[in-house]
Formats: sequence, structure tokens, C-alpha cells
Amino acid sequence: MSESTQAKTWRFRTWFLYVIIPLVIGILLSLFIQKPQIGVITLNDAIASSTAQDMITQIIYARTHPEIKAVILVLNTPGGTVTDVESVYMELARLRQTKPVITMVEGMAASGGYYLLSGTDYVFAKPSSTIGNIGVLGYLPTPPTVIAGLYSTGPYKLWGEPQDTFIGEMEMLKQGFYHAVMLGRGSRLKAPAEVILRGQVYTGSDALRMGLIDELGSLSQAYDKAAQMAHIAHYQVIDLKKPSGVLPPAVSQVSGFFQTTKDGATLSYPKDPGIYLLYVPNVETKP
Amino acid sequence: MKPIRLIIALLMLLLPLAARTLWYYQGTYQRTQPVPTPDYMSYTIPQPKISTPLPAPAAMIAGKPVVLFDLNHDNYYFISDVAPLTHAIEQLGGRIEVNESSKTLEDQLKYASSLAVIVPTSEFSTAEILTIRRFVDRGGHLLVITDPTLNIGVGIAANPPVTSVEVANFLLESYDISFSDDYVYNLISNEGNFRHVIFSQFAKDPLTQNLSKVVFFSTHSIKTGQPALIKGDANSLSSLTDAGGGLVTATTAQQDKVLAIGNMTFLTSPYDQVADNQQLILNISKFLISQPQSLDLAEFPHLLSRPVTLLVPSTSDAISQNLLAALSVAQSGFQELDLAATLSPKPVDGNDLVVIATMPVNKELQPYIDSFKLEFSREPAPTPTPAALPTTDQGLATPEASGGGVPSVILINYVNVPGFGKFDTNGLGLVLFTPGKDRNTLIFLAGTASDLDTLAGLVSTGSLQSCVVQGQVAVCKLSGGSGKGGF
Repeated sequence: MSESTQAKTWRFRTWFLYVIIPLVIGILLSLFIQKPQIGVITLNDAIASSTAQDMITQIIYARTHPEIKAVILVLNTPGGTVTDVESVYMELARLRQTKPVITMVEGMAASGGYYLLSGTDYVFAKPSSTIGNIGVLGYLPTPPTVIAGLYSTGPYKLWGEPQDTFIGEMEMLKQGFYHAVMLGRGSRLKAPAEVILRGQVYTGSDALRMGLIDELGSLSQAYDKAAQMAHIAHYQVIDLKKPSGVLPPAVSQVSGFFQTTKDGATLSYPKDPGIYLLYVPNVETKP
Repeated sequence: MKPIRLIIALLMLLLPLAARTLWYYQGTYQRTQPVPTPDYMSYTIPQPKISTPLPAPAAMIAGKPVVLFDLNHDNYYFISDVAPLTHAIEQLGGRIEVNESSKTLEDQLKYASSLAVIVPTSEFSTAEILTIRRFVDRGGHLLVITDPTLNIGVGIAANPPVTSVEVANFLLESYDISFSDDYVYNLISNEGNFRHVIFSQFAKDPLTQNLSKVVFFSTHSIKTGQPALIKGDANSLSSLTDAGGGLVTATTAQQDKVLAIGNMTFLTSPYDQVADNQQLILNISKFLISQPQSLDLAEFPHLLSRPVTLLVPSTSDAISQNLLAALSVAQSGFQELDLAATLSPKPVDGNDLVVIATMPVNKELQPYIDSFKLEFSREPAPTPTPAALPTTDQGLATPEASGGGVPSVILINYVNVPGFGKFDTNGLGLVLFTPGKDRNTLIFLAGTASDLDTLAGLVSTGSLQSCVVQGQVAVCKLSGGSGKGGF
């Protein structure tokens, strides 16, 4: 072997050892850097125990999986029960500590839907989306009475609470709702309390003027905004139902939530007594 | 090994990692401040202020003024719903009656002191409205109440439903009062809910006596040219316009004879216990049991509201059988009207008085009819034509009439009734009425003793249909007489 051939071999080995091999190893190692994901949580129903539980499962999944860098909440809901709305709202607050959450309002984010929306970082809506209805409603509890064959140990053991306490509770919950909106929207909110607490619903355009949302736009714009806020690019969008193990329902999960008529039509009013963050549109049947 | 090679190797190792990282990540998401959530513990339930119940009021008047509650117009409530009001009325000495189809409104308004129309949902006929107007014109009180939570038409297909606001507005049209088809709310100052509106601006009126704050739990606003009785503050708004300020929710008209209120809930339990609602109910009860200022014979036989004294002669003269029969008939008639009637030679304090007598009246009874300026006379009958000679006694025959030979001169008793004219008293009856603050006096005067019971029987029949009524005097034809006389 000539001296020049020996030198070439040596240089090749040097290149191979100090450039190619580290490069290949680096490429292989870089494959462990996961493609960033934007998780999508969709709610297309009233917020009742089943839908709320599904949302919470997906929110927890998003919070505990580092590859998910942002979450988009796609809402089309008239709201639901107070407890379920608060449960989802509190989980969203935990998620937002680590990841941005963006809302895309499709058809409606009313009442409890708006409660959730106010707990996210940025809100998109369609110009014709139905937004707002900030407030609480509920059926008055039955006035206390006694029943011959049924004994209880106190006047409200059977009936829960006096009617005026119930009305007061609604006011208390309204205060919580209003402050959630104030804290969530902050200086972006332009409408005064006496206006938004009227419980009116607004179109997306009006909601934008009042500072109830941030922008009119599409779902892809929401993805881009989420990516921007999370400082990611070339992301992947995934529906969080599948990885979190939430199965798509065969029928509406909250079919038992609303009142139904004898002929099976679903009304807009909740079936059970209680307090709701719910928008009841002025129509007889729910679409 | 040269260090430079190690550095190159390291760079080669990091290059793909850096490239992929930069491809996907342009920074890191870091929240500078914790996500704020509401401090749920700081919110408290606003407790309604419960007022102290008022002591039971003492009965105001001796009589039992009737408060008529209309239930004949698909009224969207049960009388038991307004128990705080009916209870207060009864405590003050009033009597509750309901207007149902068994009696006509006109008949019941003859003796009622007030009419309460609460959330009616079927229309009043024109005749009923005219009857109510006449009732108010003569001093009856009218209370009209609507409520946004009860503003629901319950008509049938052939008779499309109307709301209580529409019905009430039709009824109140002539009084310049109109309920708005809205509800009043106040987001700033309320009693636990935006629709629980606190009212503290009152006109000076007996109806607002001792009130400092009332709470209506759902109320219509009222448009009126009349002074407002109760109105809201600057933040009370109408649901129709989300505007307002100072909205009127209660008003009066027709010299305080008509009261319109846009809320019913304050009359129901437990809302009657809040703020001064109970005092307002008491004031309304007093308003309702106020007796009509003027009574006239149009209300016959419901002219008396106290126990009745049937006046009998105080002289030693025996009571004639005819008078006895008449007193008996009158007593039965007043008992049918739920009025106790007793005989007495003198008026009894606290009682109304009934006088039954023949014409001309004796001196003892003269003071009771003085105010009517009746003139009694006894004159020869007009000379009859042969064909028209009387076949029966028409009056008392003169001594000459019983003699023979001399042509008989028949004397007839006449009465001249101012405003009517002069009448032959035979077969004639007069009903005279004198209303008074302490006593109402009803006088029955018949031309002959045999007609006394027929005249007293008018109390039972409840009608003066066979009479001509003018003011406080009715002239009635009771039996066959000459029919002579005229206006």
C-alpha cells in the first residue's frame, strides 16, 4: 500500500469516525424528538356528566402527554349543569398552566359553554355563532311538606333547601360565572357588567365587538394560533378522543338530559330539577 | 486524538438534533402567571330580608262590605293563592264573594263595595265593562292586577287566547291606564334576583301609608297619564326595551277608585312576608272595603249592609194585620240578603232602618220623608163620563157618598212626588232611600194597607222592574187603581 493510499484511508476513517458516525447517531437520536401535536377536544352536545367526563379525560391526557403542545377546544354547546361545567373549567385551568388552550366556537357557546370558553387563552368564532347567555337558571325546589308514610329528620332532608335560598344560590353562582368571565377575558372584555349579565346571546360579530371573543376565523386559523402561542411549527393535529380512550358515542350521550315529549321529540329544557348554566332557546324542540 | 475532531464529532451528533428541534420548535411556552380562577369561597348567598309580620288589624267597620273577586274570566289563579289579601279583608270586617256564572256581575256589584279583577284571561263583554264603569262612577272600588308570570291566554280554538294584559287594558281603557306586556327588572339593586324589584318611591296616598320598601317578584310596568302610586328607581328597566328608569308599577285613577298593579306575587305566600309587602296588602284591603260613597235605588235591594231595624209604630195602636204581613215579608226578604231584621219602635244605633207605612204618613214617620218633599192631598175625583164610571172603590167615600139622593163625591188621596208628578195613591207604591254615614234608611209607602205586603215583597224579588226609578225615589204600580195622575 502506497503512502498516499494509506493517507487516504486514514482520512476516510477519520471522516467516518468523527463525522459520519456522529451524524448518523445524531439523526437516529433526533427521531426521538417527537413531532409537536395540537390536540383537539370537540364538544357537540350539552355539558352533562357523560360529556363532561369525556372532556376531562381528554384534558388530562393532553396535560400529561408532552408531545401535545396546545389544545383546541371546538365548542357547539348550549351549556349544561353547573357542576359539570365547573369540573371541566377547573381541569382546563390546570391544563392552561402548561399549554395554551384555544377555543373555536362552531355553532354555539352559550351559558356553560361560554363559561368554559372564558377559561381559555384565545377564542375564535364564526360570524354567525351564538355566544353569551351568561347566567344561571333553575327550577324552584318543591316547597317543603310532610308525607304520611315517609319520615325525615329535618324539614329540608326531603326537599333540599328553601325556595329563597335556592334563588340566592343562583345569584351566588352567577357571581362566580361573572368573575370567571372577568378573570378569563380581563381587559379584552369591553362590555360592562350590567350588559353582559342580562344573559343575552350575541352573534360572533357582536361578541367580538363586545370583547367576548378575540377573533372571527376558521378552525385552521385556530390551529395556527395555537401553534403560534405554543411556539411550534410543522405540527400534527390529533383528535384526543382516540388516544385518550374516549369512544365516540353511538347516540347522543345526553339524550336523558333534556325533557322529551310523549312522541319522542326532545325539548330544550332540562329534565331534572337543579341549577343549570344552560341556554334554552325560545323554540319548542331542540334541533 | 486532536480535540478538534472530538468537537466536530460532537457537532455532527448534535446537528440533526438541533435541526429537528428547530424544525418543530421555535421557542417554549411559558406562562408567567398562574391561571386565575374565581375565588368561589368569597361568594355568598344574598339572604332576603324578611319583614316582621304585622299584628292582626282590628275590624274597621260595623257592616260587612263585600269584596267581589272576579273568577268568571278564566282568571289564572285560585282564590286561595291570594289568601294573605282575603285574610286581611276578613280581619278588617269585610266579606269575600266570588263572581261566578251563577250570578250576574250587575247583580253582585249592586251590593259589593269593590271588585277585584286578578289576571283575567278572557275578555269582558261591553255590557260588563259598562256595568263596572257605572259601579266605579257611583263610588265602587276597582282593583285590577296582572302579573308577567301569569300572562297566559287560556282560550279555546274558536275563541283565540288573549293575555291578561290585553284583557285588563280593555277594562281599564277609560281610566287612562295600560299595562305593558313586559316585566320590570333591576340588575343593580334587587332582592336576590334581577326580576325581584325593590320599589321605594311612593306617592303620598292612603294606599302607600307606612310603606318604605316593597318587593315585587315579577311585575309589569304601567303606562298612564295618572300620577304614579309606586314606581321604580333609575335602574329599573323594562324587558321590552331594556330601558326605562322610574317605571310605574302601580297607579290609581278616578279619584282613587281604580287601582291597577302589575304584580300579583306579593299577594301570595311567602312573598307577602318580604319587606313591607304585608303593609301594602293591609292598605289595599282597607281600600277594598271602603264603602261606595253614594248608593242609589239602582242597587235595590242591596242598599243596606248593617243589621236592619224594621220600624213599628211607637203609639199604642195595634199593628194591623196588613202591616204585620208586610213586616214578615220584609224580614224574610232581608234574611235572604243575609241581613238580620228586627222590629223596633225606634231606630237602633249601628243598624240600618226600614220604614213600611201607608200614605199619607202619620206625623211620627214624617221626619223620615221630609227630605223627599212629598205632598199629600185629598181631592174629589175628576167627574167621570158615564161610560167610565168606576165600578170599584177608588178611594174613601165622603159621608155624602153614603147618603142617598145627593150626588156622591168621591175623594181620592193624591201624592205629589217632586220630579215625577202627582199620583193617585190607590194601587201606588213608593220606595224612598236615604243613604247616610251612620245609617241608611229605606222607606216603603203603599197607597192602601192591602198593598203593603206586595210592596215589601220587592225586597225578595230583588228588582224594581215594575217601578220608575229616579235618584232615590221609585214610583211603583202595585195593583189596579185608577191609574190617574201624571207627570
